[in-house]
Amino acid sequence: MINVKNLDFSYQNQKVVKNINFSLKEGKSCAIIGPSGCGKTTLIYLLAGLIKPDRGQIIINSNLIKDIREETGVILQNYGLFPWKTVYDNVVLGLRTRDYEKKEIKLIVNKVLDKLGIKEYVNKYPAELSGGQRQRVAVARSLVLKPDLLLMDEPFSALDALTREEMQNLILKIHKENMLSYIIVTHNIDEAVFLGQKIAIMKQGEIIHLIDNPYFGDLRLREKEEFFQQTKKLRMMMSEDDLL
Amino acid sequence: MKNKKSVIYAVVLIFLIWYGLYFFLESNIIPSPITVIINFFSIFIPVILPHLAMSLYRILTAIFLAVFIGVLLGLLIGMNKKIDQYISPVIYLIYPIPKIAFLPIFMLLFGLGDRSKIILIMVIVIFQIIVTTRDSVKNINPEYFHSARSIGIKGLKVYQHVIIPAILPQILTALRITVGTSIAVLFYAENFATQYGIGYYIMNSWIMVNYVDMFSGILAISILGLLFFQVIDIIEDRYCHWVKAGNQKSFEYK
Repeated sequence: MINVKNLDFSYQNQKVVKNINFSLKEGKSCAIIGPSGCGKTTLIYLLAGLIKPDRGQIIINSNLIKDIREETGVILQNYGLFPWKTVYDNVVLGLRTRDYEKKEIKLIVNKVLDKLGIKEYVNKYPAELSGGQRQRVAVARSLVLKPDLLLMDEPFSALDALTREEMQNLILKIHKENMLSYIIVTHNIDEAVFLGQKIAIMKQGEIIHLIDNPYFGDLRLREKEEFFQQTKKLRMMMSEDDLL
Repeated sequence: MKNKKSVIYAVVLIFLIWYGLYFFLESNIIPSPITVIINFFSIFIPVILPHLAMSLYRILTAIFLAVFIGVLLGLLIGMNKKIDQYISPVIYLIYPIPKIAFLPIFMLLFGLGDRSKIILIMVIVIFQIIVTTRDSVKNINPEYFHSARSIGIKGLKVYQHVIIPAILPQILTALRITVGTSIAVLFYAENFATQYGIGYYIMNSWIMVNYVDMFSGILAISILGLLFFQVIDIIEDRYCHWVKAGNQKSFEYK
């Protein structure tokens, strides 16, 4: 599905993404982990087509990415919701720009809002919601566009531990139900192990390790021994590379 | 409701102070507020209204032009670094000049009629609108632009869904500040080459030593200002409800 080749990107004469190569098959997921400033957000922006690489290419479903892609959903760090629009207007905006019919929009939006348990907040503004509720709205806004790929940039970093786990479970459920491919950027080891079928460790703009996570996909993984083993393994790898 | 209460409170307070001054000074210069109110209502339709309507026309035209041109220029400067580099220093140079001094020049250039008065008010108001719009655009969180692009919002729709709603609260604040200034300028400008306008009416009553009429005119200009503030409040309630919603929530958390 995704094939990234020799990707480079510089910002203010500094290379923030260096020679990135990786691929991800359809219906799979990948967690990118690394310290602040390692270039993981830039990588998500490149994959989303929001910025253009200096070198290399991103191919998604055999198409070279030159601009944003309609089937890619993006959830940004601060949710990307517009504070001046109600929950409903935020969720519906993408569909309106895609010229859907009114009836169809209502049907799609209601279904997604129901699924995410945020139907009662439709007339509220983002500022009136809790962090978790806002995050659900951001997820809803992406899901209504029926993406085949979801890109998330530290989506749960501002949430408390319990809400964070609740949101991680939600993403995993959506992934399993729809075979939705996703890439999540995080600086949380537990999150990377729970949500990444593949885990990429980034350091100074480069992917230094790309590992498979055989325990991915279990909603009760956090309660199991394997989870601790995997997080320990990841922690040790990061520690050896002076990332911790 | 709260707004209504605060208006009543302000009216009562001002009338009490006014009455106090009338009572203690015992001078013709400050007539009794009761006499002024009775006079105001008796001459409002035949005398004050034509003057007020003329002033309203001048000030509304000036504010509309200032907002329209000012927001467009502010957007252009705020969205384009190169234009900002060349235009902003010029604005900084002209902004502090007391534009009111240009009234004679405007009169020579645009005639003695309404045009020169409208242009004077517009020129005074427009700088605040340009600078506010420019700064508000620059302060929009870049994530909103990325967010809009990621769901396919492009071109003019970015203005409709992101830029205009984001800067509207600040523009309304700038407008509130400039309304006071523009009424003061209007009052000044209406003292030249006109026989209609609330500014002319007040000064003419003063020259005729008719302080009751003069104060009735002052009352009218004050109501005109109040009307403007109320309209701005209504626009804010209708289109910037999200600001209040956010403030209420953060207050609840405290």
